[in-house]
Amino acid sequence: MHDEEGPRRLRQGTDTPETLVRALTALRKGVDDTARLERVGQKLEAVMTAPRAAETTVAAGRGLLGNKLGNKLSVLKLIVGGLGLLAPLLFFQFMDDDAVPQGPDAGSLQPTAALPKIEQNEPAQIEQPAESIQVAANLETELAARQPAPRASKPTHAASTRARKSQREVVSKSEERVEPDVAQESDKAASAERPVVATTTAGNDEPTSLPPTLKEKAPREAEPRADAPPPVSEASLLLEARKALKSDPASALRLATEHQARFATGRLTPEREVLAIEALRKLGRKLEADERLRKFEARYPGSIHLKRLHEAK
Amino acid sequence: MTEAKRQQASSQEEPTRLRCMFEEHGAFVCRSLRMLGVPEGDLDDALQEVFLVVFQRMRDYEERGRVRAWLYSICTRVVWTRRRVMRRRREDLVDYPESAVGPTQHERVVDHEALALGHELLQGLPPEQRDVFWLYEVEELPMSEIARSINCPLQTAYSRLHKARERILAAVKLAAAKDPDHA
Repeated sequence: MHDEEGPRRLRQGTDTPETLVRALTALRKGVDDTARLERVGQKLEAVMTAPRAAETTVAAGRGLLGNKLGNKLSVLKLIVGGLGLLAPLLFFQFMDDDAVPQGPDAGSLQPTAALPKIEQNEPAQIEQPAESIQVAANLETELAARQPAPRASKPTHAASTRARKSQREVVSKSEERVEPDVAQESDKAASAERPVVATTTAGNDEPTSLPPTLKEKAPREAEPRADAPPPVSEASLLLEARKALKSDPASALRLATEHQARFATGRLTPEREVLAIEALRKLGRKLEADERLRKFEARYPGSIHLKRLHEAK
Repeated sequence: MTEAKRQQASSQEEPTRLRCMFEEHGAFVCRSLRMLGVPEGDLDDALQEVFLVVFQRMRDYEERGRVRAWLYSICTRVVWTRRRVMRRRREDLVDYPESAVGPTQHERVVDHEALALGHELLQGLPPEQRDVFWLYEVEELPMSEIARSINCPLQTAYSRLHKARERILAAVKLAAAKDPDHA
């Protein structure tokens, strides 16, 4: 098997000492690594299947940002997001006015009623006439079919049916991040879910159980949501977590978990792990912290953070 | 959107590609890691690490018929990093527990004596000559591929091979002279 590119290989050479040929052959055959390969193969299989879904979603999002439509879409996202966040509020407003909605028109009435509310949170949208908001609502559906980002508003819709239980719950639901899953599935889900929301909202038959103070409470509660689009980038999310670490390790841990869900294979994964370990330690969950550190070390044996983490142990 | 779809499709293929690569070249990576001085107890971790890097970089890697050379360059980097960490651990963390996997696996040694001699010969070479010698004489990669893998001009690779051969042959002769049984 003389290679045309180079000299004849020693193993094929006629004047090569036999000891050397044997040594080279043994090196090539090596040690039987079948068991090892099987073992590591299984581990890899587990690693591969876990973070993939998130990576796909992130990749899809990245592709969209590069799109020329990016700017237009982000404006629409704002409108859509605002509408989505205000949906439960509209519902309460509606109920307080005693105008019990009947029939399919109920849904289209809501955006008109929403205008004063929008004013409080997003002044830029005041001039928008009701029709344009309706158009935006239509676009929302279209948008949802095109990209996964507006899914953030989905829990709000879903939560509005449960809203009568407590307004606070609605807020927490809307802030909840959706677990990243395969984009296509969620797209279908998003478009399928929308009409259902309208009917459940209109068909709600327990308006009297609402506390009377809700109308005043609602705008106040909505305030933190005015800047609700959560830190979009990996870095800002972790920065926020880092800031929270000293005063509120629990929320730092929550943000780290959120990062894990959204950017499972992100560039700042090691930093997130370090942060999570520190947060766990601050919370006194030493065993969990140690376990996480062990995994971290296995995965990033060359990490610059290791020394510090071990010292703080 | 088409771009996103394309990326999504390719990322769906990646696990399959990685699986194929692992099946096909796993043994090669094992051999290379061992040759590069990774202790037996550390081989599992190193092997996994190499393929995790492969998984991450697969998107950037274009099929150019030189997978092994690419894998080898990843191996060298992984080993280098690990060695550095081990050194630091030894300084800072004397009580760091050893890897759970001990060196006594059920691995069957083909020709223990010859293998030991082979490793000894390779360890006697300077690293840059050893890389070329290993990839050319043992793994039998084409020289152009080797040169690209270790980032040097083709002629340099040839001259390294030449020097490595001289050294190896001299070492073999020396060993034969010392121990006539092996001659």
